[in-house]
Amino acid sequence: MDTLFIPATKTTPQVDFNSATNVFELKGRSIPADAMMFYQPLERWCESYAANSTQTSIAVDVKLDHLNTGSVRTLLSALSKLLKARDRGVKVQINWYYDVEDEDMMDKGEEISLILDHPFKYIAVRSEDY
Amino acid sequence: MAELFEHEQVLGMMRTGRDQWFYCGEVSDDLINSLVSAVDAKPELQAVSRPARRRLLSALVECLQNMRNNTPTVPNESVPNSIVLISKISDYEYGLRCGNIMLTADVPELDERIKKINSADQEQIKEMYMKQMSVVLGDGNRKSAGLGLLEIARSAAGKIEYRFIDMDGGFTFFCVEVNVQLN
Repeated sequence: MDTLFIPATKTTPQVDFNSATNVFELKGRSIPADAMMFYQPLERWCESYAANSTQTSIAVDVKLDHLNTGSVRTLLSALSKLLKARDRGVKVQINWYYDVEDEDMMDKGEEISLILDHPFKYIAVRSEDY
Repeated sequence: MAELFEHEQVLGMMRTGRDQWFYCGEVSDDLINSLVSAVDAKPELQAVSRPARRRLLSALVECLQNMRNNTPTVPNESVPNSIVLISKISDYEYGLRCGNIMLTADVPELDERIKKINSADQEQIKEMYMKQMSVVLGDGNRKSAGLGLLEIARSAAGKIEYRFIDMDGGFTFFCVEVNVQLN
């Protein structure tokens, strides 16, 4: 399956879903006016990956410093599609990075984790590190 | 609040030269992205904490997106369909005032939704947000169903102030005002 790479803009994050390394990274800010349009390719990619992957484990690194409501909604949808890979025995680890001085973002990760009913690993970093 | 969006008041605020942005017209995706970038680039906002800056931007983004999503086409082109005023109230507080035309038929539902939010504390608002987000995910429903208002309430320091102004032809002008603390 092809790697999905979308460069960052002022309002959308960098997407680097690398099918060679099986590390899927979202990095930056996600406050697009039309979140559905931005996340739709991501959702399709996740759906296809979950249905076809032969891997035993994958890691999702979420390094976002701001998500608007539309992004949360569409990110939830994309991650729920990716998590269907669990049905095929794939271990999915979601690493939620947040700035050490910004626990609000950790709370946001906890909310998403609860809704998905899937545990996240929370990693506090300095903002300059991501 | 009674003077919210009175024409003279808005013009008066523009003349003061204080830190503020004013926009009158149609809210598009490009406008949202530009306005958010302009506010975010302000040097004094770069100096405040990341959570505080995000609260301001969250409230702004959600207000603008609500306006974009809920403003119908109005036959009378002489009436601006949307107004946005962002103003610095103090070193630690910004005010957002937004107004847009909406269908009068949708007023009761919106009124009830905001009253429910305004009667809740932050923990209850979080619960409402989580519940609504779960429903949206479960249904595959792409409509926000009030999530934007809940996010605004979570970002704002106090209640959502609002007002409906009757217009002709089945339209109503909806005004909303929130203040966001930066400390």
